Amino acid sequence: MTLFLVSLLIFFVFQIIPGDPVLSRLGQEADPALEALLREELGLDQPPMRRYINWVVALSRGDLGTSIRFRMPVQELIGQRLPNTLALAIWSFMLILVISIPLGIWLAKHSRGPAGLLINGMTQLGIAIPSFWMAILLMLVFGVKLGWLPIHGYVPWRENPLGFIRSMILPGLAVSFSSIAIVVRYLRASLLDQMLQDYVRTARNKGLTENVILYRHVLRNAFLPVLTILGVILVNILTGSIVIESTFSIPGLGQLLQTAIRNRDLPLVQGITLYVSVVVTFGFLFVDLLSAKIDPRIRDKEEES
Amino acid sequence: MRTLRSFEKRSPSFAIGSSMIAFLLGFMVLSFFWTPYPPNNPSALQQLQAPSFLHWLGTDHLGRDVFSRLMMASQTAFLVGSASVATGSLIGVPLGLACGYYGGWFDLVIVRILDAMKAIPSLLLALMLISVFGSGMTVTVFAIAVLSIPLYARMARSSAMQLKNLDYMQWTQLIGIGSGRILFHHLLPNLRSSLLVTASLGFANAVLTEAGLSYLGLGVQPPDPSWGKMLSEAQNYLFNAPWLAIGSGLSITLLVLGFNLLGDGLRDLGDRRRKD
Repeated sequence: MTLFLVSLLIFFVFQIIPGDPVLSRLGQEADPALEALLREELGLDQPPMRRYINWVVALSRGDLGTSIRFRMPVQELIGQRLPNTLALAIWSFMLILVISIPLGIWLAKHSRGPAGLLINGMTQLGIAIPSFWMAILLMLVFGVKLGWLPIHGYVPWRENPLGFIRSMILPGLAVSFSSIAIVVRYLRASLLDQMLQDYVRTARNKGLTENVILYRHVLRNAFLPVLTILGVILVNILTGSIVIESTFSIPGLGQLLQTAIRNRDLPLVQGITLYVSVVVTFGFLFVDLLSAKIDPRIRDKEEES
Repeated sequence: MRTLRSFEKRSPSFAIGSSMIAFLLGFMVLSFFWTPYPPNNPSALQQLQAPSFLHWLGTDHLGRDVFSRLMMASQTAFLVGSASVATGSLIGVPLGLACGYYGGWFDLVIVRILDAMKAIPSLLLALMLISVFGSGMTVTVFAIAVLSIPLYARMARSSAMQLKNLDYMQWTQLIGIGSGRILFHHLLPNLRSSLLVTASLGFANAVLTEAGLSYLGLGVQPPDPSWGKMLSEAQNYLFNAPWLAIGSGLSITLLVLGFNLLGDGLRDLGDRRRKD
């Protein structure tokens, strides 16, 4: 249902284009016969509803149309660039997990009183820093000042795996930075919240050590609120990748989208937007399923209804 | 004034956030009357100068004073933020209130559309509008303003649904007050604190989105100044003039942080008042 509306929304936004795409391609004084021919070729002689149905039917066959700029099928172009974006996104997601979870737990253990306030401030700062500024700062420190890592250029994995890893370190950090701050903030707050619950007191009275309580009992409960922001994180990573790709000149979907917009290559913009939206929709669905799996309460509620 | 002072005492986020905003707002207002140098005056003799007593933050690749340009660009940031808050409150809030209050098929349709919009990341939605209408200041402000509507509508809708079932709301219906009057005289005032929180977070979001779009070169176009665009220009001179990348990034961060902290502070204060 959501996907249907998304496709409708994306399609009709592109119908309100000012100006006539046919005339803009042929010039104002085009031969009427030629004009009609091109109109028919592009399917523009049909009413919008009909065109929408044609578009969806083509979509279901995996056909996203033809790019005006590249004169190639849109899905092929996306297919070429997708692996690079995917690599950056997955790499960033791993960074988020590996850094923010231990950090969140550690901070929850070692922060009482004024330190808590300071950490709150720090995470707020982390959320406020735009990914592209973070990217530039990282470039300045690790690329320009220290000269440890390359500041742009993308090395394909097949050519040079080590070079690939080196070229992905800074982009990954830039994309994941704000998400790390968000997860740390939520996880820490949620852990501190759980530690005050009755079941923790019971566990303490049973004589369990703090670490057993934390890792066996509290962590599972504390993850639930964090799961709900996973959707936000996903959107963060995707939009972050799109922006950061252009910073580090990684040939991914983001760069393709930028080229497409510059050239007003609407089928391509349409295709990429739809692609990303489908990924986000499935991401949200996955998060829902995952929280149901972890929390039996949600699962039961859904089975009842 | 007294309430403001007691706010500050109780919430450090509120105090810090509002002072950051006030600081930048001051520069923004000042920039209408005075900047150290004309912000759009190129000078072939003074390209890429390091920060000095004459040029506090140095000069850019065209010899323009960076500090003056930062001040001018703050106008863009505040314009985008205010436009999104205004659009959100004037269109999103009434829409959400009506949805939550009346329910029915109207609500169903609107909620579905809002859900669909949620599935497309807001940066992409903005880019979509830009690819249709072309880039530039007007389109950027318009796109960000329109895209802020769902945030406000969602907030207003959920509040309206909660409030609708309270006793005194049922009374207003019973004694025969018209629904328009109920919406604007009885529901809207109750929304004030949630609206303030949403507006501060929304403002921060709008500033961040504008910076991102302009950074990609698809938002505000020259000669209109923008922090995001200044950053992308600075990126070409990282080796010769690293200082260029500091001011604009810091300005974005300060403004976004200020409004995020303000929103958080307002939320804390609201929660506490409810507990009292």
